[in-house]
Amino acid sequence: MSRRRTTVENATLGLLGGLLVAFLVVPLLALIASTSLTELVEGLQHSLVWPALRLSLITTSISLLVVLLLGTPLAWTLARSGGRFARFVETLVQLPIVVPPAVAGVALLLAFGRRGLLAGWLYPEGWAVTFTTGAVVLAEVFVSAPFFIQAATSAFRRLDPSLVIVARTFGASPFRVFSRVAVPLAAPALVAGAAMSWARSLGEFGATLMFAGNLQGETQTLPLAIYTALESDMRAARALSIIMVLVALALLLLVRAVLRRSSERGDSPW
Amino acid sequence: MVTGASLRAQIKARVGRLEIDVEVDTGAGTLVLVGPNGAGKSTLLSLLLGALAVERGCLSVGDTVLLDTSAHVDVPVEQRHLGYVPQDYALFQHLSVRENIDFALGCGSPPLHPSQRNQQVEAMLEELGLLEHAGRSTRSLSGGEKQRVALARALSVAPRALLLDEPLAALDVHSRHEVRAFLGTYLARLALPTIVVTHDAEDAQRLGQRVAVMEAGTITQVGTWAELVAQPASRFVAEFVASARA
Repeated sequence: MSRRRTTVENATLGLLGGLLVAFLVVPLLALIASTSLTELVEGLQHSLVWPALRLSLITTSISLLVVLLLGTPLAWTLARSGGRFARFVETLVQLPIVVPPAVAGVALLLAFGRRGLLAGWLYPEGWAVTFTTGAVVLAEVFVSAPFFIQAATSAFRRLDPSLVIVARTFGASPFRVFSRVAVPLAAPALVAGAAMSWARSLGEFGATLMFAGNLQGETQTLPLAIYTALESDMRAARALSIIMVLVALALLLLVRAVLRRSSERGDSPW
Repeated sequence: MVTGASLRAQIKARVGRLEIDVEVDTGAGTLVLVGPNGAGKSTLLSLLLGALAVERGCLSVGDTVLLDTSAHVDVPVEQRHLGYVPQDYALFQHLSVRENIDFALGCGSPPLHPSQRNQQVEAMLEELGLLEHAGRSTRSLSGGEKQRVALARALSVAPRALLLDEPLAALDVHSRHEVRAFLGTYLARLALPTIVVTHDAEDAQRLGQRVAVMEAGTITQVGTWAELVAQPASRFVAEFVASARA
């Protein structure tokens, strides 16, 4: 193959990739370029901003805690079981990733709503979680947990099985093997998975809108506040959007730094 | 440690496509297990540890029965008290040398008093010449040092017997010679029933008193090195002992 042809082919591949990079970056640049610092400051003073920011931070922190507390043991169990049932459960818990958020909202309503499947058991007094801050947390857990479970299961699978056998020969209980060996060794991947899960939770819109509504201070999270602000004050919408982009960027940088550090140290799960 | 006892096992199992049907007796010292790749040597160690299920068989160390399928006895891995050092040593990379040994001692039931535990960690570090490395991360150790940590960790809980899987395979040629000499002397001094799996003829010659040859899931010959040299039972054994003389 001639050198000229190699150059042309490489340039074509680069150009095709470059088109996608441009498409992905231009909207974000437009968001930042269209907002001056003064507009950003003014936008941040809008009455929608701080209650939404506060609520988003509180609900996503709680949902992350729930995901970590329940998702880590689940991922460990899935990683250690090779059976058909485990594979079925794994597929099942990944489902919320591909289910459209609106469908997730309807499903949550039909399960935990006032007249939902579990209403008789959950709400004997008539009170229902729907359209409360609790519903926001439930919606966030539903859409974000699979991201963490997927990352954690893969990390636990990459652990050397002989580490577990050796720990068991000392008499270590299953909980000790999990908490003192598996979790610390998989920690970098768990942190990365938690960050991705938190980001998904922070950006959650559709399921929250349908299951929790859009009540300022109670269920109106950042994405819902952006949606509301679009109709009244574009500056506030832009300011909130910029905050979310910056948070997402910070998270991405954190994940990349954790992974780079862990691969430099030669940790086994990466 | 149960010195003077021997590990005796009769194991029948199917692991994947491999049929294992073996009978081993370590005697009071070290039995070296050799054989071609895929013969089932490492699998046998997993079966003895209780990490894989046995179809039929028995396992005992001295008078202690750890497995007897006919009597429905199957002591779980956690209670077999068999020391195990896998090929890559399986050190906990997030812990220091001292913490690795402390982890092992901390798993016992009932738990040791912290001061007693600390004393035992120090004793093990000293025994294996690791005192100067106690605070180091296991990531920064050389292959030989890693092996000593793995050995110290396995021995710290006073196992009934010791199972070493290819203890020298991860070492470079230079350190291999030195570590082999150390291991041979140390195992002889321990007088603990031990099985050492290796594919290296020189290891087999120097690490144990007797050698068992495993081919396609069964033991085809057991004897001293001299006996293997004098009367090799198969082509593999003949080539294997010849490779040590080459």
